Amino acid sequence: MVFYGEGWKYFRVWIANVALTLATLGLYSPWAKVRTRRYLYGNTYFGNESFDFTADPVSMLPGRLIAVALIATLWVADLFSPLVYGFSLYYFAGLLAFAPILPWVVVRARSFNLRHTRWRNVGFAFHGTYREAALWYPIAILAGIASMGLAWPWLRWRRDQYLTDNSSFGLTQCRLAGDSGGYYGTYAGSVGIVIGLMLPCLFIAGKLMPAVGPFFATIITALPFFLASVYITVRLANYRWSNTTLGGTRFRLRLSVMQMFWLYMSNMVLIAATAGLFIPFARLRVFRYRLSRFEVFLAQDIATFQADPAASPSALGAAISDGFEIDVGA
Amino acid sequence: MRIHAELYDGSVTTGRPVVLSAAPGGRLRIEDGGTIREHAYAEVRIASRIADTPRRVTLADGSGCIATDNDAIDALDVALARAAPAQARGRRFRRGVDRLARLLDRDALGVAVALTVAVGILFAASRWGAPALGTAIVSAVPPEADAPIGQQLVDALDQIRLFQPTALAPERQDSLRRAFGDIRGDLGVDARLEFRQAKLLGPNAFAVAGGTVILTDAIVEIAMHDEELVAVLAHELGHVRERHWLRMVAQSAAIVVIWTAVTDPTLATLAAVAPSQLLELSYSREFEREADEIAFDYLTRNGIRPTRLQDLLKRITASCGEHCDQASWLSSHPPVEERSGD
Repeated sequence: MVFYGEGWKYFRVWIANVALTLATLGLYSPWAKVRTRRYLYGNTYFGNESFDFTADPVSMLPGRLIAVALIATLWVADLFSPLVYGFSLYYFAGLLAFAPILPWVVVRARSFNLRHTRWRNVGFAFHGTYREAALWYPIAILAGIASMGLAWPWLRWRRDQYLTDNSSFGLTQCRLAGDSGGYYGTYAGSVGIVIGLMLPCLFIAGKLMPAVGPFFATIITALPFFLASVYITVRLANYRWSNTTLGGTRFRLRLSVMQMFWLYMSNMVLIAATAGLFIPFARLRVFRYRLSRFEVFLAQDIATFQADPAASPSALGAAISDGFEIDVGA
Repeated sequence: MRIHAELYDGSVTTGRPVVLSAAPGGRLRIEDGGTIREHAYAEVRIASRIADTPRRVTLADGSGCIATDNDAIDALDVALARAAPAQARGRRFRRGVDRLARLLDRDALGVAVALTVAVGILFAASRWGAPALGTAIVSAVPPEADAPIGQQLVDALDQIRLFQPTALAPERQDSLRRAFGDIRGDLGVDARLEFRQAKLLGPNAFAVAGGTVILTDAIVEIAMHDEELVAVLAHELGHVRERHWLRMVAQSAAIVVIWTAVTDPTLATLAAVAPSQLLELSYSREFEREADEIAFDYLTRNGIRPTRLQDLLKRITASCGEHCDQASWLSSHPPVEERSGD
C-alpha cells in the first residue's frame, strides 16, 4: 500500500470544502465528506490501482438532516431538563430512547461506507444483522458498565469480531482470529499508564501552575489519559489487523504508540499555532504514517478476487435510489 | 482526443485496456480490444474531478473505466454535454455543484477566494451572527421558561452538597435582601436573592437562569462595606436583566454547529477544543463588560462610588494569594486591571 497524497493539494480540497460548507450552513457537508474520502482513497494505491469512494452526496443529505434534527432536539431537551444529582434527566432519557435504533444506525453506516469503497471496481460489503448488532452495541455497553469494566475487553473483542467477520471484499470473507487475551493486556496496560503517570503529572502541573496558568496545568494532568487512549487505539488496531485474514491473504499493522502520540501532540500544537490551517496537513501525516506501517501478504493472484454478483454495481444503483443513506459515526 | 483507460467490468479484479473518445451525437465511444461500442451520454456517469486522483467513467452495465488524464476527461465531459444538451439537463445540479468546488480548489486564486470566504463567514458569524442568534432566542423563549432551569441548578448543587445552608445571621440577610429589592426595582427585573455556604467556591456570587442570585457566605464576610455587596448584586442583576445565560447557551450552540460543519469528526475534534474555548471566553468577557456597565450606571445614579467593586475584588485577590483564582469570583471575572473604572 502506498499513499501519494500531498499536503498542499489536499489543503486546496479542504479549504474549498470548508468555504462551501460554511456558505451553505452545512448543507454542503455530504459533498465535503465524499470529496475528502475520494482524495484520500484515490491516492491510496494497492498494486497499480487506487481505491475509490463512490457514494452520491445527494442521497446522504436526508440522513444528515435527520441526525442534525435529533441532536438539536437532544440539546433543547437537555437545556429544559430537571437535574437529578447534577445529571440532566431528559438528556439521558433521550440517549436511552436512542439505544434501540443504535444497532440499525451502526449496520447502515458500516454497510454504506464499505459498499461504496471499491478497488478495481469490486466493492467491499458488510453483512452484519441488526439482531447481532443489538447484542454488541447497546446491550454490550450496558453489560460492560454492569461488570464495572471487567467484561469490557471481552465484549469489545467480540464486537470487533462481529464487525470483521461480517465484512468482505467481493465474495472473499474477512476473518478475525486470535482471542480476547490481547485486548485484556491492552486495557491492563492503559490502566498501568494512568496509575504510573498520574502522580508525576499532578506534581509537575502543581509546580508549573504559577508559571503556565491553569489552562496548561489542566492539559498536563490530562496527558496520562490521552496517552492511555492512544495506547488503546494503537494496540487494538495492531492486534486486530495482524489477526485479520481475507481469504488466505494476511495483513500486518505495526504502529508505534509513541510515534502516534507524538504525531497527535505535534499536530495539536501546529493546528493551534496556525488557527486551524494545519488541519489538512495533520490529517495526511497520520494517514500516511498508518499506511506506511500496514502490510499485505497476498495469498492469491491480485487479479482473481471475485465480486459478489448480488452486489453488482447496477443492482446497487436501484437499491440506493429507494432509500436514503446513513453515514454517521465513521 | 483519445483517452487510455483500464476497464474493470465489476465481476473480478481483472482489467483490460480500453480507449475512450467522443463520437458524434454526444455518444461515448469505447474501443475495447477488437470491438467498438458506443453509449449515450445519459447512460454514462463521469466522476467529478478531485485534484489529480484517478477518475472513473461508469457505464450503464456497472463497469468502470479508470483513467488518470484528468484534463482529457474534463474535455470529454464538456464535449459530450455540449453535443447532447437534453441529456445533460438532468445533471445540471450535480455538475453545477462540482464545477463550483472545482473553481475553488483548482488554483491559487480559487484557494484565496475560499480562504477569504471561510474567514469572512467565521468572522461575521462570531461578530454578528452568534449575538443576533442569542437575541433571537432570548426574544423567542418566554422569561417564565427560565425559572425552573435556574432552580434545578440550585437544587442540584444543594443535592451534591456543594452548597450548604448559610450561616449568616438573619438580620444580615434581611438587610442585604432590602438592598437587593431596591436594585431589582430600579433595574426592573424579577429576581430572588439566596445565601449559601460553599467552601469550595470561595468568595463568590452567581446569577442563574430565571433570576436567582446567590451570594456565598465568604463574599459577604470579606466585604468591608455594604456598598461593595450592592455593587456585586447590581453586576449580577445586570446578567439577569440581559439574560446572559441564555445568550451563552445560544452562542456555544452556534459555535458547536460551526465547528462540526468545518471539521469531520476525526482528529479535528481534538483540535477544535481550544479555538472554541477561546471564542467562548471572549463572549463571556463581553457579557461581563455589559454587566459592569449596568452596575456602574446604577451605582452612579444612586450616589455610590463605582470603585466599590474594585475595592472588593482587590481584597479577594489579596486574601487568597497566588492560587486563588481557581474557584472564587475572580475566576469567572476578568482581572482587576481590565474592569471599567471610568
